[in-house]
Amino acid sequence: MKERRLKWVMVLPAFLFICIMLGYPLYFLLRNTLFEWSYIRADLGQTFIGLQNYQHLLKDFQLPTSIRLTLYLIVGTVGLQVILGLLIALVLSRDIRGEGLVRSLFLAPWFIPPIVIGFNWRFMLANFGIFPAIFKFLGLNSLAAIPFLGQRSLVMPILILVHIWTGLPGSVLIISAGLKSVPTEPYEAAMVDGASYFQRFRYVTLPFIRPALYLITFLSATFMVRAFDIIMIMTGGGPGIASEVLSMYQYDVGIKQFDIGYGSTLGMVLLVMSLVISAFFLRGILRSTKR
Amino acid sequence: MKMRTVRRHLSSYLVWIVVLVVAYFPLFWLVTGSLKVLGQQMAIPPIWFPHPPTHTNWLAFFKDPLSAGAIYNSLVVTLASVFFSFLLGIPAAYSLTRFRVGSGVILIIIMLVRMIPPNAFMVPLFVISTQLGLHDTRFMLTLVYLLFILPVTIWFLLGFISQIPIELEECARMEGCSQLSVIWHIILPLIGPGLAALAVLVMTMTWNEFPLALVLTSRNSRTLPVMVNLFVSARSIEWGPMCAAGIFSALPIVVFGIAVQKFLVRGLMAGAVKE
Repeated sequence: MKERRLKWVMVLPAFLFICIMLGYPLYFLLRNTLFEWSYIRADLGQTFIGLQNYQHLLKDFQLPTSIRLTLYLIVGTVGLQVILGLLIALVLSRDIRGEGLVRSLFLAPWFIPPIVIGFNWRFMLANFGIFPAIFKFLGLNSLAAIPFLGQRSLVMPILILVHIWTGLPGSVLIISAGLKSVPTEPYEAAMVDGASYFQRFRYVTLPFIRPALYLITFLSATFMVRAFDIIMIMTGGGPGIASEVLSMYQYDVGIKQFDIGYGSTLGMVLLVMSLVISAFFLRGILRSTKR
Repeated sequence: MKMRTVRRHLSSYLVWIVVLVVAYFPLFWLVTGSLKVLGQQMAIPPIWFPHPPTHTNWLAFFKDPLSAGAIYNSLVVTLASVFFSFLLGIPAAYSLTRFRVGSGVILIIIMLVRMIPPNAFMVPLFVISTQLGLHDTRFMLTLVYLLFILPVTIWFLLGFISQIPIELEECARMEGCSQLSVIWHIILPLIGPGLAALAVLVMTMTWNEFPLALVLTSRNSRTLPVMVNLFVSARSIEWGPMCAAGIFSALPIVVFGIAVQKFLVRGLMAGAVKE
């Protein structure tokens, strides 16, 4: 009897805490989307406006741009990160001396605060930074003169590269762990049967590391929907709105302009987008582990 | 044959050198940047190794009352949220694995929190914190961080605990151990390495967290990432002290992280592949 009570007592504090801390902000987010409420004009208070904030979403000319930029960022970063991660992990999987040390060293960027990473890249890309200096040193004066973070067409590719730089160690780590789990027998069998390197990779390695690939895709995709820190400190969404991804746009409206109502509505869009992406990949993970 | 393996290894090493240079060059530049006097950071041709290195930037960073406050805030908030997430998470995870208490619903809620982007809560949490009079307090920030790290903690612990053979516990119970002392004397020591890795993971999450700290704090409870951002958005950036601040904010976590990386992978895989 006492036992039965104990097992609930152990779960309840955590459960209640999560429910309250998740439930209240979630409720408040939903509720605010139904109100017109500006924090700047606190005297005006809040007015219930039904679904008008959602109708405004459809008319908002900036929203499609933000969603497109967010998707661009996710697909670009995750795709390249998985491909590069796989290539590097494959090279690493050959047993060479000092492999463990190198792998530990390589992991460092994964732990650095994104805000510091963003600051550092901004520092290096600035017109007095090291990249223009290197280009000038190599005699590439036209390249050196480019304002990297001030060019609309360059800003997103640069942000993608910086995010890859940040996330690559993690994906190499997870894919390597997946490669370690591949048994050697099927390889030997495939070798005996005369399978080429590519065939061995496609039919032996790939099925075994599929869960790891799904996992890293899932993790980095959910991280990229919420990408904020690096963009905030490197470009602040600019130049103009060239890197105004959804999370930046939501911040600008909700916090900078203190438009609580519409800011919350954009927060909902971000939330839904994140859940859709998660659900999509989660299904993949579940399927790949069941097999 | 031997020549061929040497050549193959050589190409592996070459790949590694390239990868490490790409990974470390920015960090190298950050470190040397903190050791250069004002203006040297922007010199053309670039100064690779400042000679002699200066410590003025580090002095400036540590003497600034803003940084002392930010270091203190980061430390308190991180340690408090990790402590409470273990305090609440360990019993909860134990009960979930061993007794399967309402596990379906609870697991779904845990997964849901993991999928919610903290940014989406920026606006409501900001309003709630001002309404409750908790804006700009370390208490509020800790509560919010706890929401996001507690599910991760429980999720990982589920994987760790379920790997421990239940016979061990049954033995101890037969000897007259209470349920809580089973957790304390048997489970905790056995999952020790995993716990260390998990602690580093959640510490990284809180120590590095930026968007929520940005909207929930200002003068009194500002954390290190917010301070770094504040410096950058100021009109003229002081690159030297900024580099020092950046290194200082990254250092503790990087050192811990590299120390436990082996357990971290195992934990990540166990947590993800489970069920």
